[in-house]
Amino acid sequence: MADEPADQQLVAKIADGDTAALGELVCRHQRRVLSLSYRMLGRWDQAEEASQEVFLKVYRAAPKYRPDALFTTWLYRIVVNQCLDMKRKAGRDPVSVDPASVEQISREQDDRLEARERARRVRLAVARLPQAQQTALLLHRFEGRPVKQIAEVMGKSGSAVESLLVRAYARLRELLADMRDD
Amino acid sequence: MDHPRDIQLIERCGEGLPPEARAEIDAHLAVCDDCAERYRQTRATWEALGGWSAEPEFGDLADRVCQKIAAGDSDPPPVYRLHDWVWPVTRVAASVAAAVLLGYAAGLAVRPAPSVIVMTGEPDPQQAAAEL
Repeated sequence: MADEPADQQLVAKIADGDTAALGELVCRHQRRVLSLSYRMLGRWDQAEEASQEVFLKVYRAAPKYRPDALFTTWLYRIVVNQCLDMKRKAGRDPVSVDPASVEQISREQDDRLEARERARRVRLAVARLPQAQQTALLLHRFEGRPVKQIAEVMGKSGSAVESLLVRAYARLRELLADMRDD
Repeated sequence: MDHPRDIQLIERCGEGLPPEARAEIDAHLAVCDDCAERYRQTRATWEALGGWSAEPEFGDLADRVCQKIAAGDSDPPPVYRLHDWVWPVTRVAASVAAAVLLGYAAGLAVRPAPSVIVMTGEPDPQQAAAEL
């Protein structure tokens, strides 16, 4: 939409204290922030908490933002750091299965049961990857980010991210072998 | 082309490759059974991962963020904080004070102890006269 201000313009307005601009930025990016937070943390309630904190950090950091990279790179970096902080503080396997939710799923008799089971198995397989591989994979497979941008988000070289991705997909090939349609 | 690297096959599964690169890989896969098998396995893993859907319910995230800001739960953007100078200045002042105290303490430690004259009993008038 040509009339929509660019993300950088919105951030400049936020730096001037314009909360309406912040609201617009939240609406524009909440899907990717929530989805990535959920996949990193494994629970929607924590994903919402993380997302809220991410946008508050955007608000606080707006005056210091320098548009020398894509806005989404900056945003993803905040999301990843926020989620990693929460995982460290929680001191637990963040993508572990909530027993209550499993029980709830087991009682469901609707057509979505199989899909939920597949999602759960993928989530557990991804959780078994080392943290750096997880982050690279989530950004690549589910957020559709190119290697170059993932490298910027993670503060690594492009070749390091390629290596992380190759190892992650190879490991998942083993872990999800019985889920594949081949 | 040479056999594609693993990362190229992974990228081929997504939308990240430019059309020319995709065409080049596809042409190779059409004539190389080994690479075609590698790609088939990579593709199967890619598709399996697609089973992890995450459809967020947006609710009122924007409202909640703005309410937190309005309620003062979040500091305003730093550009408006007039007290930003307080913390750096305090740190410098504390450093200077610590250095002064340390110097004073070191000075006390190296200063020679004053000599002490112990008076015992009455002075002997004769010895005093002799000393004069």
